[in-house]
Amino acid sequence: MTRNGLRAHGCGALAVIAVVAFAGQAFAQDGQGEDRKDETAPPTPPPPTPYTPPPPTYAPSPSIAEPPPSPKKKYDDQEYDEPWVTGTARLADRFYEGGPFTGAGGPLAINGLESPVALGGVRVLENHGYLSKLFIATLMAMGQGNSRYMGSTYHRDSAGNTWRTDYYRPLTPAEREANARAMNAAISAEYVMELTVYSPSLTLANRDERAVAKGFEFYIGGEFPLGKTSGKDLPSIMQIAFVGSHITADGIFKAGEGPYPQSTTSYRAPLYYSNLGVMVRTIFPITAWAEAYVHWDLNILTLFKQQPEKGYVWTSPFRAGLNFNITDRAYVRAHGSVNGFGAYALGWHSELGVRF
Amino acid sequence: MNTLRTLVAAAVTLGALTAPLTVAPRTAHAADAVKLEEHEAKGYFDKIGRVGGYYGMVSGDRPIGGNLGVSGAGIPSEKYTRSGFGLDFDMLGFWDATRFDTLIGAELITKFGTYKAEQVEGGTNPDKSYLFFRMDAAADYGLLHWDGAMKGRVSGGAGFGMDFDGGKWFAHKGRGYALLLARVQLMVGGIGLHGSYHWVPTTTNDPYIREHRFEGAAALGALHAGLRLTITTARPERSEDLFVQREVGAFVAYAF
Repeated sequence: MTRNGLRAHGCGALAVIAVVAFAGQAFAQDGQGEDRKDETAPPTPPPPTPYTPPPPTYAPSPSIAEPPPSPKKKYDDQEYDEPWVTGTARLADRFYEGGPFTGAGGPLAINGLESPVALGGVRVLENHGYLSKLFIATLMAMGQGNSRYMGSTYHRDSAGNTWRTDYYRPLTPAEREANARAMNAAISAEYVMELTVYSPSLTLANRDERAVAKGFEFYIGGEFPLGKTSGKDLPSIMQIAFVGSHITADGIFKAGEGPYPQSTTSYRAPLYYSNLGVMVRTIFPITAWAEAYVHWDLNILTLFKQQPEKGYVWTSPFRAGLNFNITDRAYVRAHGSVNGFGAYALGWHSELGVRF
Repeated sequence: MNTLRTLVAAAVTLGALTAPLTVAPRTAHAADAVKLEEHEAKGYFDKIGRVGGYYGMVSGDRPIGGNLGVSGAGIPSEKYTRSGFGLDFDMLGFWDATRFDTLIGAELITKFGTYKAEQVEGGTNPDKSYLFFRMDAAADYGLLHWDGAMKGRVSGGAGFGMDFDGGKWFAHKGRGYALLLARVQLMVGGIGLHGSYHWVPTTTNDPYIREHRFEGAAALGALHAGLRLTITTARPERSEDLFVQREVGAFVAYAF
């Protein structure tokens, strides 16, 4: 059915409604007339009221040629009224961002180095994505068994061997249901996952003159909205995540410093930064175009004995910086980092990336 | 200072490039999401499973005897051929979109077949066949997609895979690998056209291997057919020569 056809049908329907309404009014007046019939002479019929139909409107109806519109998709509500740059409001939604970076020092900024370790590589962030759901669901599935360990007993046989017997029981239906509920909740939740790859081949520095970093930093966790900053309609977000990192470099140490203090000339020695712990990052909107962030990796390994003579770097680097949104799809971010107490511990990172 | 200057220039360029994308996809997204579902049933496109068969012919160069322990440059080599056939079972598609209108999907590519042993011309060749199994899984992202008479999409992705084939001179029996992929899909007059490229940058057991897999296919309803070209390069650790293997194949599949 064409649009004009629909319009004609709409006009027809409205005309029928108008006629019926007019007839009803006339019928009501006739009824009043019947009530008064015995008392007075037949009433004079009222003058006909000219009917002006309202302007025709498009009334959609089911048809083969024009099917009813499909239900709205998840993002339909927001896409027409959003500005070019939405600032931290984007963090409530599903997207990816990533780009190359360059920098120096960072987690490998330690005392005694002749020059800071050069950093270069690629960072990729998944915000509310499916890979993180898959990762979490896989971990949960590995942790959920079909049976529960109930304990062990030991006994010694006549030959002097010690035997251990482990006891398990199958899960009850209630426990299975609880497991399924937990799995569903884990899959339904939204996560933040980030991978930073440090690659010597992506480092701008001359590899013969500078130490360059090689390794990765991995984060997976969730987020907590901190509310909207007064006067701005943009939320501040806190992200808390598990950290797993390992970065290595052949550091160039000053004579008399580093793992071989007996050395009389500068020398190269391997560095190994490892981090296993918790990351806390808070993102504060300044405007939709700019936001500040602070980022701290709390490293559990710092609780263990430090072994600088082996080149182990177990620190909890702190980073603070700014993120500029060139558009919603492109950004520049830069931060400074502190990896200890002293000027040697300073570092920097700058990155240019896209969101998709 | 140079780094800063480069960064600022790159930022300005990137901003100029992405500014149009910030607006245009949003206005198109609602219609596109509906169209995405409408086209699901039209073959090799939005979400699909396919089962089919393939045949492949392989040729290449290898050090004489296929000896992996070769070293130096100018190693004497020999040409070899082999062929194989098998079954394909593939699933790929998109089911959601990001805030920036990038389609989110995944793919699972499985092959099971058999290949003959490498045959050297004029040599003493084993009369033997080897089972072949491959499974690749990747996350796919539809970075660009458009509607209209020539609906299409450009997507990219990353994932991992493994295969098992005892008959390759350059590889151990089994290997795992990461892979990157790119895919272009077009729907022209009810015919789906598809081109893909998978890049294997290295493998677990044999780090000197690089593999480039190309596929071109056409889909008419449930019938899919196409050609494949796989180029594998190997430079064994102590060798300075590059050995290349090419596989050309064809496949026919039923899509559901």
